[in-house]
Amino acid sequence: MKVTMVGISGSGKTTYMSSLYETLGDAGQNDAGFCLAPRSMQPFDKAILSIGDFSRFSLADTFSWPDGTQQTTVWPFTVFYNSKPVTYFDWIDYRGGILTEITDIPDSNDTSEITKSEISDLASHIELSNAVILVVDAFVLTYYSNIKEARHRSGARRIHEIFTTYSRVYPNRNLTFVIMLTKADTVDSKWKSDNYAPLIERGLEVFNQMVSLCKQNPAWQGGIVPVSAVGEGNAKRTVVPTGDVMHPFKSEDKIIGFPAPLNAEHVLFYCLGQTLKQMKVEAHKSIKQREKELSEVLKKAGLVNKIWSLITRKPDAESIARAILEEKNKDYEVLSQFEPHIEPLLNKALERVRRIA
Amino acid sequence: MIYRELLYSRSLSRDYRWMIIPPKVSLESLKTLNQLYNLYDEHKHILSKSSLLPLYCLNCPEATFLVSCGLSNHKDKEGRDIYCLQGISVPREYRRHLWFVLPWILANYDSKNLLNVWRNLDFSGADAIVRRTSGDCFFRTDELDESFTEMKKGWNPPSEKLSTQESTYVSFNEDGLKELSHLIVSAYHDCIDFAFGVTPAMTKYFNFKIIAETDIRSKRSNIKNKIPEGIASATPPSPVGYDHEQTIAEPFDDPISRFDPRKKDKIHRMNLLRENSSARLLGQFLPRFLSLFKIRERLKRFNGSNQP
Repeated sequence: MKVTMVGISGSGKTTYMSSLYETLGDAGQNDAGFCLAPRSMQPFDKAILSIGDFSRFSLADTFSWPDGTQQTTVWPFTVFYNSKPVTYFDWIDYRGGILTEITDIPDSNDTSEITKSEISDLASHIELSNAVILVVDAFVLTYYSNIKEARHRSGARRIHEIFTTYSRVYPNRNLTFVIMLTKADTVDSKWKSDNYAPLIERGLEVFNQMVSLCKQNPAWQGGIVPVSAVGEGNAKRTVVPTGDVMHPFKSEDKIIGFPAPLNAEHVLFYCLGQTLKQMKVEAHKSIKQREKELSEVLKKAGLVNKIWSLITRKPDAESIARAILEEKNKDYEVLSQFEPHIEPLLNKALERVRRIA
Repeated sequence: MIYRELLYSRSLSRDYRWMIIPPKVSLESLKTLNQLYNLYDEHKHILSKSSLLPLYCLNCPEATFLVSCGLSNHKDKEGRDIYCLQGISVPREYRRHLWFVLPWILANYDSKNLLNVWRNLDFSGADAIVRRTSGDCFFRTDELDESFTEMKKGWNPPSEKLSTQESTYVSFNEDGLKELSHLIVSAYHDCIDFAFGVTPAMTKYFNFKIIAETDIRSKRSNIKNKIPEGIASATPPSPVGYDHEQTIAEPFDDPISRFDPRKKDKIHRMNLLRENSSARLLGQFLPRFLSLFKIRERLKRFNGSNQP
């Protein structure tokens, strides 16, 4: 399965990778028993290198924020539950600037071809993603009192344009999305009361179009959650107003305490849990379909069918039935591997993720 | 020597892009430079341990690019460091001139900011710079300082010829830089691709003839085949950023994907693209049908010719 993060530059996509490393990079660090590891081919030395690659995102090692992403990167991960693999997923991180460049491309230019191909790649990733995480800076949402300005500056408007098009092209397609309000620790305390309820309300207001699309489309599952990569009190934000209408403020965050990410794992658990739930439905459909095919094929079985298959040199009903049975058993096997984890994943996720319905 | 500047970087609030490009540069060349920068970006945590700036020379059909990658000394609006790929492009006809002055550039590129394109830009207005075409700049050897005059005196007849088949390795430090200069001075031939500051994984994607790798001591010989297997194959497997087809398709086979409706959509789309069944039937039977006609024609002709 694929999970893609969608958000403008500086919204916190790559930093969220750091939060995942801190919360799920080691099974011992979370009570849910799930952990993440980069998927890699054997042998062992390469597997170790890929873990090293993931750990480079550690905030606790460097006490500094990761650099911005320059290129679309796919991280293949495996989710484990008590050391046993539950599912695989590809995590897609990309250069957030692409989102603002969609309308910036000049008519015809060689370099704009590169940007166009980047945009087309991002569109393909979104198209094939089972879940998307809409990443938005909570500080930006709350800094601008004008809702339209907040929508524009946070990238929500661009996200709306993308997913309105998506719903038009794929009106019946399942989609899981989470609106992730990053840097939640940096917002004013008035937004944090009652477990960030005012911030969540603001997020829903800014993402009104996504809320509306989710309500119209029963195949969509949406959620919203505030997240922080370092946790309350562990980063110090300095904001300098510039007086420039293009860039009203500059900010700098310094990590001043040991990182303790807030709600990071809940976002991923929601995405995985909902997607696996959809897969479960599809698995049952597939099994039912195979059973139907099986009974139809078996009706044809017999001596005449065997002779006819010998003449026509085609497989007889019995061997077709055997192949269908094999596929059905495979369906059951795969289903049994992930089905028991759906509920724990969703239960944990919904402790913090508020459903949009 | 005529040269033009190029810069790939980001500004206060606009993301990474080509800010300054030389005129008439091909899309392929820009893609090659982008690939080089992406690889640098993935390995910069290793390369930044050195006090020297990495430097790369790439020969493309229309020009030679001499670029460095590193910090720009600017920060974006989120307070993050801005990195860049910056340097010069020298048109094909001036390649030999570049090769001639390259040792001097190598000796001074770090201290004199020779490849620093950012230094001439006003950062506050840089958000507006997108794909600006650079103008011609002139590099006059007679205006160079004494060090170049001294260097020219020491321009010995070529003592050895660099192998064009295998790469020569030097170290990524001050000594390695001197060795690189020496190799350039003593080489017979035209500009060659070199990388001063790479990891083994980065070299796989280019055909560098002189390589200064991190953690590899100077060997001053063609030792590519002697690099321990473990180092040569130490490509971090997880970030898959180069192959677009591979990244969009899943790089690993996932058993659960058998239940993914998106996959079914894809198959459905592929089926739609195929011919419909009646067209397929027609395609199968039409040639046979027509061949029957041909046989008949031949039979008729045969019968006709046998008739008295």
